[in-house]
Amino acid sequence: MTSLRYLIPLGVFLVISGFLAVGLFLNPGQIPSPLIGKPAPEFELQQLHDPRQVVTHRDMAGQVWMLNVFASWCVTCRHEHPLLVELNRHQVIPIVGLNYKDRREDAINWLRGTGNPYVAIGHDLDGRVGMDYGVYGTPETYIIDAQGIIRYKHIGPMSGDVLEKKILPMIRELQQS
Amino acid sequence: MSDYPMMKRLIVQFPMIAVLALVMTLAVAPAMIPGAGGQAHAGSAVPLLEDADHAARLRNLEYELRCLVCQAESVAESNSEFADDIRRQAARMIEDGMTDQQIRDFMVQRYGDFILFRPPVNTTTYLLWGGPMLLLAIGLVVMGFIMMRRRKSGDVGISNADHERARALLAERGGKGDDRQ
Repeated sequence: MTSLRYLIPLGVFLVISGFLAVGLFLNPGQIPSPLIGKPAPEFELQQLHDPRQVVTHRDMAGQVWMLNVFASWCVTCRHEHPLLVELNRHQVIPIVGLNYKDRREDAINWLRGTGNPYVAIGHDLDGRVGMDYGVYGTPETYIIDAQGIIRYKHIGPMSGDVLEKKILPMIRELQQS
Repeated sequence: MSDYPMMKRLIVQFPMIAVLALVMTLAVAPAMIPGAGGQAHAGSAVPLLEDADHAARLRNLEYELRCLVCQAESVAESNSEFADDIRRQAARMIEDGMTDQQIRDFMVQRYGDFILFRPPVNTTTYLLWGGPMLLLAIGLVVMGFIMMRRRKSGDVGISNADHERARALLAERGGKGDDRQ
């Protein structure tokens, strides 16, 4: 029986190693958003293409929609942009763009080159709306349900894999309820 | 060992106290704020706030907020644009008359607990704050058990068989058979 007791330090070591091993695979860049399950923060911004018009959080009420934070200076945004164009082409979900800390002209030119998948684009020049949404980098994408509650946040460019496995199923589920 | 109190103190008690001190220091670790020695400060070239009190408050807050882009640095130390945005926002809020706690709450509401260097004390973080002390307590209890068992069987850690042999030898010699010599 005493021999079993000697296994206790080994057991403790294995438990600690287990925790450390899990830690190795965690990505500190993926900061969970405290806004999941909370109402999407209110905003009112000038439209990118027409500063005389505004786009607000109220515009999308009653629909499941996607908020995509992007900028012309953001290199990785280019990776996900074709996916957004596809989503828009197939009318999967309305996408509102948040043009984050970008010059109006630069953004307009950039979209002309890559295609414009957005139903509306808010020009967040100083990034204050982004701050309300907890944006700390680009691109970031939010899925918001018909009641205006944020249900999901994706940090970094979306990939076909993430779309297929997480985002599209969630959109389908939200659209059906 | 009980015959040599000085040696016992050196070999057993002194290291124990040293380990205790070390664990106490570690227990305080979650509360330590990096950069609070004031070495690195990447403020904007033009000071954001004129008033000296406001500037001091901003400085303190900057050290408490983490730059989410370069995560080991505080907003005070980081040169990133994100840190700059946070600084400006905090400066604006100070000028608007908000308290430090309101500013912290504002940041946590948007970015989560991770933006604070000092994790809040709530049900999720009890283990983080209390963990080191808990481990210390467990260690002391285990040590207590070991010491009590040692005391029962005699200070000398030899097996019962050897005890018997010693007693037999002493009995032959005409001694008292006492294992204390």
